[in-house]
Amino acid sequence: MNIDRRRIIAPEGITPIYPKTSSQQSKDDNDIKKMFIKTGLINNANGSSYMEIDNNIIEVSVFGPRPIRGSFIDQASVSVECKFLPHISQPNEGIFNENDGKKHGLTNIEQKISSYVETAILPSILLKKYPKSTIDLHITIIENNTSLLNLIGWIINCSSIALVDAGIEIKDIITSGQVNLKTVDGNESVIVDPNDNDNSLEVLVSYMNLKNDEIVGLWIEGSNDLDNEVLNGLITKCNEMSRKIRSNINAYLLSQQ
Amino acid sequence: MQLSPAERDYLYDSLCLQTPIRPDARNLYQFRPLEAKTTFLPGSNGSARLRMVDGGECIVSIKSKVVKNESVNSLLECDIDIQGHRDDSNFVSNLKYNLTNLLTKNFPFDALRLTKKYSFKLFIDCIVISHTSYPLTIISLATYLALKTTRLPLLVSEIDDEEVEEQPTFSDDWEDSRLLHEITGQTFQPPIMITVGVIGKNLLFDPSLEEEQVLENGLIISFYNNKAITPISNMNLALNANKDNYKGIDQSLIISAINMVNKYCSAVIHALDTLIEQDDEVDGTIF
Repeated sequence: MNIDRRRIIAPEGITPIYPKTSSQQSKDDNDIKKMFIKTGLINNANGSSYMEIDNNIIEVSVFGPRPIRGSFIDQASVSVECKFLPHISQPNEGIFNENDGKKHGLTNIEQKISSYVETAILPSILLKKYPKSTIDLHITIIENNTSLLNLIGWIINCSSIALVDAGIEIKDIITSGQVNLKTVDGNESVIVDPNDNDNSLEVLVSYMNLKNDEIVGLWIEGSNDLDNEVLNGLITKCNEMSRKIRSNINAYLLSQQ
Repeated sequence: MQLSPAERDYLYDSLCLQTPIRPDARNLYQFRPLEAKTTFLPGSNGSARLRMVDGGECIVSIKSKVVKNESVNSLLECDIDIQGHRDDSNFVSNLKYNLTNLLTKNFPFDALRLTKKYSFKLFIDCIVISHTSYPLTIISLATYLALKTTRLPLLVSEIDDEEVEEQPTFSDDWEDSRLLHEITGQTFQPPIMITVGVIGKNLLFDPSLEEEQVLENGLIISFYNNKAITPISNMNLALNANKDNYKGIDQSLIISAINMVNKYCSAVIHALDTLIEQDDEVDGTIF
């Protein structure tokens, strides 16, 4: 008899008792994830925002405009620092983050996110209004259960709200849209605001929607067939998503008045 | 060199014209002239040195190591070292991320598989000795040359080592070593990344330092197997320029940038391949 006597074998037909995470709740392909926004939670920051998007949690605090000593600069300098909480695993960290174990400074993935955010946020801030000052954005990712590009899209939304909360003069609130083009057996389907990135073409676009839909941030990843028509369509989808998020953020900010 | 406001205005206006005039009289799709030398580091599997007319210089060395398949996350590791920048700075980390991302997603890893248990791992080390414009282009072109001329020693032991405890052994004769594309038996053109400047309604390839200072935005587009591929992203190419005219891009410009890369980048690859061929013929010094 070949029975494993070291274990107590469970009866048949049982179900696991783990709680179901909300990512397993079905989301329609055209839906945007539900979000919860709260501003001004961090007392010693000039402005902050906290966002829960499904089971992803992001917090952004803005310090500034703060005066700098020493050299004279005629406009504000912006710096962005993005951190994952130490217990959170980062997307693809095995490939991008070498010398694991040593924890000092930002990892390559965190640096990449920081510079995307900086690139996207910079055109919206009226830097000339703040000579001799710095504006610092501190982003903390408290929980992450989505793909890298999707996460960055939400970080942008969260950062924009934090900038508004800090009362920094901006041209427009930057919002992002992220869609995937998934190909299964030759059938293409567009998924708005996806959770995963399995073998699909991922498109993340950040917009200034008020200013003629100017694209301030762009990142395309994934499968390698780039058809102009398809890509155009996907970018337009991102614009739609970005507009929807923008109107929700507007509604939130107006309700805070 | 930082431009004065008047110089900046002049340059901006001449680049925004319907037929733009670039300071060095290049066409929009033209790269700056470069010179390069390959396979000059005796201790490396592949190497390349590339110099631009503006004084930018980059050396890439590729070394291989035999590793157990299960012990590594990735068979490629890129490291970038830039004169005057800390290794943990945002600038260097970003370049490293971009290069690693490009290569790990577009590489014939079959060429590195040795046996069922062992593989080659490639270490790609880039040193940028000097640069004026954003160094991604020179890093990626030098990496192209180095990968294209990388030779790996010939395996002489059994490929199937599932049952036996045997470490791979290689032919002593360096003449037996093979290029990456000889191992896979398919043509192999390593992927490259191209910087495209956006200004007004115009797009310019390979912007120089002066041009970077007046650009409205920058795009990074990848190119592999004769077509534009992902990753595609945008970024501010100038390091510490006046950010006054930095603004968003129109959707149509992104599409035309991809078309432009599709149309002209094969010529860049062709030029690099010709360079390697000519380099094989002359066996001289590098200086």
